Amino acid sequence: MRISIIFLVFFSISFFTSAQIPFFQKFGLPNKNEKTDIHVLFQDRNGFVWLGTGVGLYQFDGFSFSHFTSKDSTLGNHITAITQDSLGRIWMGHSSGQLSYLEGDSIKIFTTPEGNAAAEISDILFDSKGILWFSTLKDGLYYFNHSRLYRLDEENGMPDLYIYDIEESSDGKIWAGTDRGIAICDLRGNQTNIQIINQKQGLPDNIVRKIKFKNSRFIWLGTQDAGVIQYDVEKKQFTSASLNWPYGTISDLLIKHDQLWISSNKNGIVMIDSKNLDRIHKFSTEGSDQALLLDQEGGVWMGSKSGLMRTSGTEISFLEKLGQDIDQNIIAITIDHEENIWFSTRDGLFKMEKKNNVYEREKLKKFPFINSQVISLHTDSLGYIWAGTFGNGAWHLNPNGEVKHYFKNELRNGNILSILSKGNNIWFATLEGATQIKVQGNHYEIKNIGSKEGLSSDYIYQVFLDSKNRAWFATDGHDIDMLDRAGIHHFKLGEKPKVVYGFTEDGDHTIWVNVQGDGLYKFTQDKFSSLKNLRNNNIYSLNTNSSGNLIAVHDLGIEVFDFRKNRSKLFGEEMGIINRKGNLNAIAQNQTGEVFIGTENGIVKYEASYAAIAENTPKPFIRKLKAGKNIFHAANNLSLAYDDNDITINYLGFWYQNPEKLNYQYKLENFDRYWINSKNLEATYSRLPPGEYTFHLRVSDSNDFQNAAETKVEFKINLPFWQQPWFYMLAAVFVIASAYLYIRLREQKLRKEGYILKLKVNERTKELQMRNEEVEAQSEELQAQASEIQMMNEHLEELVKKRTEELERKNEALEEYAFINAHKLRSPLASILGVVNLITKLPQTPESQECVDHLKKSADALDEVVTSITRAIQKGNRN
Amino acid sequence: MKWVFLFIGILFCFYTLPAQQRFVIEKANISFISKAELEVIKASSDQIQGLLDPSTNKFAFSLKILSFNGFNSGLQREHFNEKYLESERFPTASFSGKIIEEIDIRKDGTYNVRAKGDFEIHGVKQTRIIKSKLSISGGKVSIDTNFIVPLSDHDIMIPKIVGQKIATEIEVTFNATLVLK
Repeated sequence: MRISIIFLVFFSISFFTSAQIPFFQKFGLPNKNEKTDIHVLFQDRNGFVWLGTGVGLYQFDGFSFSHFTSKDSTLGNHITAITQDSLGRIWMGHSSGQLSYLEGDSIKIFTTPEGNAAAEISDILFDSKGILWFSTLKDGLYYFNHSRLYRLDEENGMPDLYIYDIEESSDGKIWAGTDRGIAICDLRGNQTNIQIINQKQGLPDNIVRKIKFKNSRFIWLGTQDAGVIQYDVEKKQFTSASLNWPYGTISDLLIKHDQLWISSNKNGIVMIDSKNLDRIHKFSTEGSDQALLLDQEGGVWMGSKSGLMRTSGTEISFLEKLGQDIDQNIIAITIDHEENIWFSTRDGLFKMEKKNNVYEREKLKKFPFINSQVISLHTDSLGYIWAGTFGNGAWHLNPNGEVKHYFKNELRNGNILSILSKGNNIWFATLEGATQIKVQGNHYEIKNIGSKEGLSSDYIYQVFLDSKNRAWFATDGHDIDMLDRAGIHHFKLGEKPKVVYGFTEDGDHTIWVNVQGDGLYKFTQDKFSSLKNLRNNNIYSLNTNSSGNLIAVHDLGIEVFDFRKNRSKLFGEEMGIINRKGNLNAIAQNQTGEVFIGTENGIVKYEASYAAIAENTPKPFIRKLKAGKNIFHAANNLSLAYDDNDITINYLGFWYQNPEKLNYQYKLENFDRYWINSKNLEATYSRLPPGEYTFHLRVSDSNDFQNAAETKVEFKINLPFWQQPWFYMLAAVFVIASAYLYIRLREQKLRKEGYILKLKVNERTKELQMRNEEVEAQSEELQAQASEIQMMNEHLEELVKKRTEELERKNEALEEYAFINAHKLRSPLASILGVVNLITKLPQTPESQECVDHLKKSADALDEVVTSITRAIQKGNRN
Repeated sequence: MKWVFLFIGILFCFYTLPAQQRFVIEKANISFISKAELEVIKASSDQIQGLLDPSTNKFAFSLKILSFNGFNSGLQREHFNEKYLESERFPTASFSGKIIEEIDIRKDGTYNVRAKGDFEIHGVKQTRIIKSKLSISGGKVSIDTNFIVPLSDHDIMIPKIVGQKIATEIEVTFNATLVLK
């Protein structure tokens, strides 16, 4: 047994105190020459961050700022309050006492018949019923309901007219922080009941500048002089965060899980853990009276006269001010059971004592081997410190720095690359194998094991002891060896032998391996398999945190890998891990689960804020769609003309922690067959054929889009009107209608003509009828005449016959007469005529002569008559 | 419901409250000191008028700037009135407001209170919270306070050339005794 040499180590206290500061990213506002005083910060439901400043309203999307101002001089551009209404419009309160809202790109003044407030607006909100409330500094509380503006003042029971903040409680009451306590306004119909909480009820400070509801029971109050106070609504009790609040007036409060972020006027930003009110973190940021905002990613924003800042959270913080007098390259690190940090640089071994959540650095100055370079540190289960050197062996130290034992000669090699332990079983990884030390009180049982004893290599980076008491050896270029009760086993990682840096065991007792340049390997079913789950494969140190997740320090930062959900979160650039490459196996964890990482530029602390990894993903947002000359903002289901088919879609991803890192994928459904990768913030499609399209956009902060959030915009390019079904229909309808019309017209015309014709026909018919009748009558007459004629004819014939017969009889009589005349008459006459001629020859007296002449003449005339009758008879006979 | 000019109304009411309800200044003194690198300026005045209403805990004090006396020299007084405070243009300084703490001024005792109100000097109003000690005994109220006035808060310009003679902030001490009248 060796006698352990006790060295006394003297600490020299150098006054370097170190707070743990998360990374604050600063944003420069566009108006660099103009002083931009930020009064209020707000994030709308889409994701835009709005800044109310002394020179107007700014909108920020992570990439650029848009500036909105009003030209109205009475309204002014001094914006002191911002909120959003149910329609998504941004409302502003101005120092002039007026309200305004943003419509498109212009600021519209909100006017009421009752006028404006007479003092600066301190806060605005729309309550759950949609009623607009606003508070003023010195002019009371207002609400706008049923198109009327009402004011609550001292007559209504307000304790004071100077109101800093209004918040709605879960039961719909408005809590107002005033100069004389809290006013709780219960508006029922038009009746307002105001209840006051002030000093009389035990409120430590009457001036309540900020109210934040943690839940329905606990409320955080920010006061003028008494700091933050937690009010228990049920018990009506006040609990001060700090009895003697040293940080001044509180201008804003913010609740993030269990953290309360406080903006103070003396110390900038202060954060307390509501589970542990004594732990106050001071973030010595520039500026006082900062406006605070918790964004949808869990980031905290601060705005003030000194500008705009954001931090992604307190998971990662930096131990600032290790001291400028020493090298900042932390080679080895361990945390003792008092939460003190031990670290080594090329300037020696240091201990940072934790006091009031701030570390004070001490250098172990009179360290026995001051010239030795400590390259490995470890705290064992009893809280003792083990320090391994480069070439000079190792020390076993008491937590106060006293040397318990110095190992040098017992070791096969004095280069101690890493030290790990389990219980009293300590293992050194050296350049000549490994050394196992069993500690029993002051007795050390030492065993060296190397290639002679069966290890694959003498260069060992780490010896890891798992929960099954197996020792795993990380070899330099000879893969992995494992020692269990049965002996040494060798495991190959692949075809080519690999350099192994270290191991860890996850919450489910699976062994994980850090392989140089090749990422993680997992030990399952007696085999190691490569898993490319991390975003980078150059891992410097690997560990498991208290929730069982893997922590890998690699080129891109610190990646926490939830192996159960196969999801990882990288804390990199956005958390300020830039130029802070981790050192090999320089990682340590304290008993509360905080992980400390030694980097080439100081110490980085990782503290899981919740058991699970925050499931935040970048949020895609389609800003506008340009179709031809038309621009549509945040619209959906657009219907576009056939010639508005040159489409440009502007989009972005909300990822304030690192917007530049975003990768986008988009796909135009019905057009693109595959997702298109892009880094641009715009997608263009030219001459899209008519059709229905859906533009899908997803965004990721890595190349993995599996869990990426997605958004879409649907639009439709219409067919040209002549190809539209409606047009066809219309045309068909037109044709049918015109045919119908034609027919109708024709029919009408025909009907009209028909009518006329009918009339004519009727007329004619009538006429004809008349004529007919006439004709009929005539024909009847004619018939009658005809029958008569017939009758007459028949009669005539008979008559003619009769007459003929009669005439024949008469003729015969006549002929007989004429014969008689001619023949019988002639003979007497011819005797008279012969006698007359004989008398004429006898002498006569005159008187007898005359008588004889006369007698002769008469006899001659008679002769002529008789001759003509004879002649006529002769003629008749001839006929 | 009252509308926008109510505040003025309140002030008006306050000034016309029945006399027996108010404390008024019996005697008072205000002094200031400006400790600049090269020169110390100090002066004081007792020409202060003031009221304190015990029913509302509201108060109003005013002071004629020209009543300040006790400068190191007449020239200093002239400069003070003409160059810096422009006393002809802005003849009065005032502070009116309320006491934040819930105290009963009619009861004897000593209270540390905060007086909040509009502090006006050089024509520029600033809302200030001034911590004061109030001692009440035998119907008398004594006020003791001191506070800082940053000159830039009130647009009081100091030419660069005399920058070393006038501090950017001046310290003010005020004490008064008020009686119920």
